Amino acid sequence: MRQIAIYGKGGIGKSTVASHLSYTLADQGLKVLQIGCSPKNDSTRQLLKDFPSTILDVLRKKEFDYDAVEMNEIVYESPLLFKNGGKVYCAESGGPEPGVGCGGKGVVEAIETLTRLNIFENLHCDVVIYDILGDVVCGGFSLPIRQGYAQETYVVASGELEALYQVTNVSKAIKRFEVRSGSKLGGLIINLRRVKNELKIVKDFADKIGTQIIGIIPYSQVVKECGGQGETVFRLAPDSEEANIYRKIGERVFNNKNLVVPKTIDFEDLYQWWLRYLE
Amino acid sequence: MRQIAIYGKGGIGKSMVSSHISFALANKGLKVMHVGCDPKHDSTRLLLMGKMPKTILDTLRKKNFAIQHVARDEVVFESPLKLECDGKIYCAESGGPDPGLGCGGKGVIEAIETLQHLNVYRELELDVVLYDVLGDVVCGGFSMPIRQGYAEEIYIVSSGEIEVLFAASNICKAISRFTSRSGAKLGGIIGNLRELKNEEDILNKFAELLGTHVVGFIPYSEIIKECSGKGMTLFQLAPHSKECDAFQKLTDGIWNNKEFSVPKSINFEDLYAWWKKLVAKRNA
Repeated sequence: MRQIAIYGKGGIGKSTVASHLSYTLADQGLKVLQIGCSPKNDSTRQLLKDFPSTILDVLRKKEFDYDAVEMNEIVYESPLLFKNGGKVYCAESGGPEPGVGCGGKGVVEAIETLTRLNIFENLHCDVVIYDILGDVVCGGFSLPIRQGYAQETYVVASGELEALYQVTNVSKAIKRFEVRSGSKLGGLIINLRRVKNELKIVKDFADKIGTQIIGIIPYSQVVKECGGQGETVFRLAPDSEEANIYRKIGERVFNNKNLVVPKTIDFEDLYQWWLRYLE
Repeated sequence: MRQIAIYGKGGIGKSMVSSHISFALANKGLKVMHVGCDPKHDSTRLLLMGKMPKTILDTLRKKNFAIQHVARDEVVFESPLKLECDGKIYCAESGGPDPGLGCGGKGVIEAIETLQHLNVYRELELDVVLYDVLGDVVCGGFSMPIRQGYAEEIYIVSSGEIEVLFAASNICKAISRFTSRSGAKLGGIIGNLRELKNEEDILNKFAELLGTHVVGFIPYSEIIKECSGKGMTLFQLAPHSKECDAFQKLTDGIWNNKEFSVPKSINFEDLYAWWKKLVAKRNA
């Protein structure tokens, strides 16, 4: 079983990337479990018809008595039909009640609950995908890296400074825990945002930290429209250029053997480096 | 002294928006303190001409959290930007956890407590404190300005995108939860447009749904991106642009705002159904 983490800063499109990745892998006949690890609990929106109950919500209702939790209360099978008998299962970690408690707790509780209920084995999962908010690389949101659940991490980024900074933060976490967890960086998935010289920025940046670019998704209204309707481009625009790009990204992730411990860069250096591309 | 918090989802442009508000308020002759409450610690970048200040959390770490050994000029930095008057802009950044360790919201709590301890607001004779806060994770830490009533007025930066509206509705839940104890209220929505069809209409209707109003719209613009890339506000680089005018109007709207409300809570399912209907009508 492979466990893959997709990190990205809020708004960069990581749920869209993760959902399309799950879809592509399922189309190859694999059993995929996608775990949304963002308090917003809408990671799996494009794979499900309805909003699932979050693991944290279910646990709260049961006063954190794990043994009272049933698998079908927290894991939902996607009603979409995949080729070759593949399946997508969805779970959402959930987050704190607005204003109280800890933001990363959802991730910790979600993984512990799924592990305790033996869900990965019971569902015969081939792949587990964690879709994780990367703005706050705290103890909670870094759990899949720190504990080595996810041996491969991909970061969704653009040429924007904030997005690249977020990659360096995730890279620092990978480097910090590498010895103990074995978790590595598999590459960057680029969502273009119409920044000046953006292609050059992201390519040079990938070189700079010693990783590769898995795929580049153009700035696209098609993706936005499909996302707005709660659908993937595979369903609403299966012949579009965007659908092809997402398929290729899925294949490249599936075949990827190039896992690295990335180089880290301090923000000040990153900023000075990045500024040069705007001239 | 007025304390204002600007919340918004990551990537929505809240640092960019709040820096322009801080500048425009200072340009009215006010003494403004801008507190960045995002682990990314680049909220004040546009006010410090691209420089990134030391974060409060980093300074505290170095001193083993012995708050009594922290001096004001180690955590508060004055903006070098020229104003047309005697206004001033002071900047502070909360900072965040070491990547992979600890708590994300701790920076916000430590930052506010340190500034309180140093009596910074009184000593600098501030007129306005503006908190720029990450709104993706409305945990105990990031909700501190609302929960403890430091900020009595909250503004939410939002586009018409559904993910962004989700985050906005989450922040509203925190406001409703704490309003009786803290007195914090929603001052309105700041529309940061993202080229969606009829986006202003979506945002106006969303505000109505929450029982609030839109205080101002910022157009989608390449100029804003460029200025931000260069580490400056539009007030320095494009003072006569229509975008700059939009920031000025937004700031006036906030400064003269009298309309504060306890927002209605909407759950995700209902919000999504509402949004889909609106978009379907739009496409028809």
